[in-house]
Amino acid sequence: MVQSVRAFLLCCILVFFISIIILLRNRKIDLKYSLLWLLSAIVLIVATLFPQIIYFLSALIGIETPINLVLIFTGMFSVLIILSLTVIVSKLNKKITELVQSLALLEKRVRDMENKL
Amino acid sequence: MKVLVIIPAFNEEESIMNTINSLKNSNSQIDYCIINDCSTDGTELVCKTNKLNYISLPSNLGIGGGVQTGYKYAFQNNYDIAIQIDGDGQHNPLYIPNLIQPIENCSADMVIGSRFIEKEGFQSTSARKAGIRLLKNLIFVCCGVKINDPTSGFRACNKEMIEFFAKNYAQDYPEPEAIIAAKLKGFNIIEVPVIMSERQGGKSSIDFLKSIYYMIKVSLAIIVNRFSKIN
Repeated sequence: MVQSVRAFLLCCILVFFISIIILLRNRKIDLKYSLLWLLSAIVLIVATLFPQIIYFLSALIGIETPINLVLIFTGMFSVLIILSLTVIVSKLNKKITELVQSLALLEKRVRDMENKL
Repeated sequence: MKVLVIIPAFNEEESIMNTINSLKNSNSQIDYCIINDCSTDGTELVCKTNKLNYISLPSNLGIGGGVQTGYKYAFQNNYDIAIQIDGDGQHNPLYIPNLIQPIENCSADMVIGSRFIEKEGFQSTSARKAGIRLLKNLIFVCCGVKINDPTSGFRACNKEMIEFFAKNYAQDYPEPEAIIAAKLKGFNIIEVPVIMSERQGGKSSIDFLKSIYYMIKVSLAIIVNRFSKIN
């Protein structure tokens, strides 16, 4: 990789990493949900700092331009994070359904009791 | 035996009173509970002014979440049998004794009212019938039970199944999914013939465009259920 490309990539990833830290500090995201983000940032930082890893892996897989491997990593992390979001949304959906149901059942019980009084 | 009729209702202000009246005329001492799934019309007002027994969901959950609320209510109040009836007047309450009977003499855990056994009354369009036949075959392949009318929302189930459905029930288009979940759990399902009429008011929850989505979703749901760990 050309030095300027590495520097640019490193800057981008650092901004990304710092954004996550700030969000965490301000408690805008739960640590639980930021782990995947942090992991992807760290992997990308390591990969730009030590391009030998990237050279080795791309030679191993047979990718001619090593930068493409970095892009593949980014894409894979994005897909992984989106997938984890779908899992989270499904969980939340289930919880909301249960909440709405028990709220409605409670409201019914309260209404029945009021009518009896 | 304590019997509860669960009536899911979404925007059924025109037909809900007819449903309740015909229910009371055919079985005067039966308990019922309307599940108002956050209707945007006057369904709740109709329930309130006529002092009907109803539960109002604070946000719209769809038919699955609504019906499940009914099963939770039945479970909490210790009912022995729960019957599902659509709020739009398609299901004639006169058939309720036919649905209950196999459960009372313990020959089935779940009884489905089917319009395709004796092929009388409202039979739906041919496109829908083709779709229903496909689901029927898919359910047969996946769990070996032959249900002629898997989309029928006219069904009765016993106490164990009330508990099961109170805990897990499919959310979007739940009727065929509930069959396969119940069957894989080891429950015994049978069908009895009923005659259905065309809906009296309101709109079907499944329009023409949605039916393609419906078929894909339900077919997938059946297959996923077959391989699911929880069941």
